[in-house]
Amino acid sequence: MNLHLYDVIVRPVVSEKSTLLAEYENQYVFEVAPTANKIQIREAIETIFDVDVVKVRTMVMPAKRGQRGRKKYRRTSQWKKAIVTLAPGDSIDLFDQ
Amino acid sequence: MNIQTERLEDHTARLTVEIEATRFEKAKQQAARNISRKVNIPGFRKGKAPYRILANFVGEEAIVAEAVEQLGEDVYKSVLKESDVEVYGTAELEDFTLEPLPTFKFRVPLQPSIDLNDYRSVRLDYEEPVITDEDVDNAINSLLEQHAVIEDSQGPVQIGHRVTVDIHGVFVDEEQPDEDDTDEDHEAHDHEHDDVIDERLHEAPNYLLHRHDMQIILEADREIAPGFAKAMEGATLGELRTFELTYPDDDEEHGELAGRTVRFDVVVKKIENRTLPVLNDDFAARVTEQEDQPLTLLQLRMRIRENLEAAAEMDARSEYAWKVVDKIAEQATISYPEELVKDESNRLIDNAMRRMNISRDDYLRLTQQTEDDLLEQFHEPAIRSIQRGLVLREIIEREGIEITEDQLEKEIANFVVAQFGEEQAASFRTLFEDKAMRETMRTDLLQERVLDHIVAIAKGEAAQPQLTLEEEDEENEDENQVSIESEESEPVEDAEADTQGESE
Repeated sequence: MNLHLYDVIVRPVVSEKSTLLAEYENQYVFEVAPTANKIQIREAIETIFDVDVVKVRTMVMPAKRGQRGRKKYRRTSQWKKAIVTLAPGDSIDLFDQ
Repeated sequence: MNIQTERLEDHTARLTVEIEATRFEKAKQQAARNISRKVNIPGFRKGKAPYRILANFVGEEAIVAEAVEQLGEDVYKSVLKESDVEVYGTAELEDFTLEPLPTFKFRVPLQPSIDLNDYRSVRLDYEEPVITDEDVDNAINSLLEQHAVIEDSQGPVQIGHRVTVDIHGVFVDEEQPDEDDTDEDHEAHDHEHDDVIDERLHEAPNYLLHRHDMQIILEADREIAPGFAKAMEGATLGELRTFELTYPDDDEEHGELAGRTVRFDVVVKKIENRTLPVLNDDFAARVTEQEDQPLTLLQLRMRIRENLEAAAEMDARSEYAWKVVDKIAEQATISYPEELVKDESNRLIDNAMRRMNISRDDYLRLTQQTEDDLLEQFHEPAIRSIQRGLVLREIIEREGIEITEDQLEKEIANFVVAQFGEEQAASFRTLFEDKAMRETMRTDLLQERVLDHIVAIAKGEAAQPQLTLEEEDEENEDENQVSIESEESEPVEDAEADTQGESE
């Protein structure tokens, strides 16, 4: 696979749910490249944030279509989400940009 | 909480308040919750975003601003309780600093303060108003005119006639008169002429006046413009007369019209003959026929003179009293914040607008002024009114002037009888059961009292303030009787009161 390390992770997912997970479960949520596998994600996170990853769960979020106006559709395409569990004591500070 | 008070020049105070950092931190949290309820942050339901996310999204400054606003109110309220300043109106948050401690700086207008200084030594000469024989003659003349016999007349206009005219006066000296302003124009405006605002609009700079169905008595000594009566002489019914008249340069009566030339277009619509009654005992008896004992001419003259004197006396007295108040104000040390002046100006403006029955916006539009112009205009009167009010209030307090319930009752009873007559007094009496009415009455009475007192001071007749309360009451009652006496002579002379009104 020629997916570069820094291309694996697309963005952190900031939402109510992800904030709660980070706060109580030490789990962090990211959108990742659709082709990335768990191993690549683990490596990327460990390298970029200098933390130990205990577990990676991934899922493919379905594309969604909602109607907006008569003829136009609002679409979101399919994407891959990863929930990364860190070793106790490690944390990622994502929101202080 | 640490409060420092600092008095400033313009009768305001600066309150510097330091608060604990934790308190401010709490306020920030609360502010963040408030903001998050209003802001839509993607990924979060309203009110659910945590502080950090929110700070990123709306910025720390917004949260601080919100916190300052909310905490400011709380802090201000508790400061007012703790500090000893007497505050007038609303405070203004001047400054807020975070370091080293969160510190608020408020600028608060203070209650006006007054030091009357030696107001008891204020003296002013009182000028007795003089009623001359001429004044009496004038009053009798207008009485005659009121009872004049008016008959329609067909004939040409003569001096002394009463005419009903449509009149239109245009300045023709500076601006070019509008050539269309002829008779048709009058008709075009016919339907709108009783609209006050419309009339004002017509009085644009180059109009002197524009009136329909105006009643004019053609007499040399009360004309719209000098020579008007003469110019109208000989006009017939329905005739349109156009003529130009020039006000003399040194015309004092017409003020700013002096030296201007006006072209009048006058349409005669009605001519009436006036026959004045003969001035003799019969006339006097007729004028006073409702009375038990009709008066002779001589008695009538005396009566009129008495009334004129009483009225002039009352006017002069009140004018004098206010002059004294102004003088006391002059030598007193008065300070008040600018906010008070502004509020007072607004109050005066509102009153004036209500009297003119026009809204403030309309007025501004018509006179092409801005709000600030208007406030500026009322600046001086507002200051005077504030000073007078403060002086009165302070004197009331210093002299221990008060109105007891009994006195109020008595005054109301008098007032009702004087105003509505014996028969209806009872039914109107109930009106004054209302608390607000009583208060108004009390305020009026108090003002009357204090003015009487001030007059006494300025004439050097006032007793020393170290009176016991009883004596004070007696004194007040004496004064009260004086005013009642002058009031008692009033109801008899309704007719005269009218004539005075007209001769003005």
